[in-house]
Amino acid sequence: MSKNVIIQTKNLTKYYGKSRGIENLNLEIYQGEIFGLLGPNGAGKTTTVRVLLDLIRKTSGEAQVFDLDIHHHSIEIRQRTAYVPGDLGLFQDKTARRNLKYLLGLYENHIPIRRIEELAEIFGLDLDRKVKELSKGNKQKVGIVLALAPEVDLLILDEPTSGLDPLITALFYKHLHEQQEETGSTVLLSSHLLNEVEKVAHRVGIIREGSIVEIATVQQLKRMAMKEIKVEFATQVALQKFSDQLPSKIVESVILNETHASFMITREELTNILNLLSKSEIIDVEVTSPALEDIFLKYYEVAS
Amino acid sequence: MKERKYRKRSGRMGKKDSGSSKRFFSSVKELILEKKFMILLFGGGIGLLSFFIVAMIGDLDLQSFQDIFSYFPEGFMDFLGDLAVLANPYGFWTLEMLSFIWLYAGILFVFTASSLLSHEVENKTIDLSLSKPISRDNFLGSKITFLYIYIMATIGIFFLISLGSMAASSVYRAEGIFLERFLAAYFSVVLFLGALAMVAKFISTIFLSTKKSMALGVMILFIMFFLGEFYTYMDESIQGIKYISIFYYFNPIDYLVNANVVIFTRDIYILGIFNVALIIGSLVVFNKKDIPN
Repeated sequence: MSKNVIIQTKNLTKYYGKSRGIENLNLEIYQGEIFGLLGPNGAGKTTTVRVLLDLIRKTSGEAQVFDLDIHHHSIEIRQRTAYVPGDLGLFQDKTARRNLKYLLGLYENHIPIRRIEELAEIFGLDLDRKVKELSKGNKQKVGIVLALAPEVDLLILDEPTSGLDPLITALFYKHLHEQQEETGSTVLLSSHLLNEVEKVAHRVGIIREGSIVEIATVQQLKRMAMKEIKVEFATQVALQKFSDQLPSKIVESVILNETHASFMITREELTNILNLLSKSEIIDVEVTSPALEDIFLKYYEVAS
Repeated sequence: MKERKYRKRSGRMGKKDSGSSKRFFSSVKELILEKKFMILLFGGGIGLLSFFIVAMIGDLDLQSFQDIFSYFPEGFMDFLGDLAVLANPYGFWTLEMLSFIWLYAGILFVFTASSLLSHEVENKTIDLSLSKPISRDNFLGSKITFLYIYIMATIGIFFLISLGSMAASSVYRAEGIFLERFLAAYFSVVLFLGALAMVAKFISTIFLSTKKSMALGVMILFIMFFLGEFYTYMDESIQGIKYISIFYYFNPIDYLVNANVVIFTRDIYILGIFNVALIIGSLVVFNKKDIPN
């Protein structure tokens, strides 16, 4: 059975005057998945999200959400979408309750106040305090309630946990995950916090200089990435003998220190290297899979 | 199960945006609730000023104004313009209250119009509002509707207090209470101030910046004042420039004192056109704009 594509972009480009926002961005996000859009500040994550929500207009290319053109059917799309920006702008002189009632009241479907109160209680948000009296973290909780309260098919979260403490962050992702499992909604999670994305995302897209450079599951990315091997040899001679047998492209990455060697290899080279090591006099060996952060940094190192 | 739920929700896709009017009025209501005290305070404030002016007229010898003006050279009286109507109680009130309403009320409405949209952009609340199923026309339209409600309510309170004060004043009762002239003046004031505010609103949709909109809005207001009021001192060949000034089409003395229906009808039509053109212009510009981050 083919997967339902919820978000699709083809060569989506947005320029702000002469400066690049995103360029030829190609993306397909499927129904029921949590898709992490990863990239550092200025990579084009927020531009992508804002173009999809029709807050800014594309320069060229195509983009569809729910098979609908993002500009001509923006209201239908937004009716089925919840959005939380990282830099949350709320009405400062109104209470959290008033903000939520007004903003959620813009949806066609009625969202009962009970649902808002329930979520506020879970996340420890005082609904009756004015937003200007709330801390940054508590303001962000208003954003979380805004995201989780409506029953929508798509959640677009742009750095949703900025300013939240680790406990509330974990609680948010737990609820997000549960809700997503229960409703089968799709989540586009834009972030530069790799450890967060790694925990919840089914697939990850790495965005660099306005374009997607890699899309894969977290596991695939890890498999594709280099593994680090650290070996402690019994003698310096054993180390020398081993390094002489290494393929030349690996030799370039070897760091030698008396009887210790460390180097990077691809998954395909793993069997050969372990064979070589089995014939060597070794005391200890450690094979490390990189964290998503290391993989991510690799993409940026390549660029620089 | 998930598939079924998705399909069920997808059924709404082709449905027309039936809740758009609900969202529109919800936005207007939110703004009214936010500014309700300002409306009462400002309308009441101008009304109180008007009450004092009306009360003051009882102690003034208006005939003496007429006598003084009769000694003034004709050229000087031309320069003073409408000042001669000071001898009439309605003329006195109109000159004191309505002729300069652009200064004490107009500037406030220009400030309000400038900040209504751009303040939301600067505070980033616009991102949350426009990420909900509300069209840009509805979003800006609700702000424009509120602006007119704000002007109508404020000026309405001011006019009601003025009318009450006049009804209680023996001077005005002797002159007669002209409800229909009052109503005409009310509409022209609303349209005149509406047009001034809409100039600022139009500028704010272009720049989406409160400071720029306010500065340009006030600057244009003063330029139009000079063009509309002092065009007679310009070279005859360029006097036609007066037609672009909103001030040229605001002549409260002609409505209230002279009951000039022709001037009133012309002014109402042209001020109406100014308002409609600026509303359409603002909506067109806003629809094309990127919302800055």
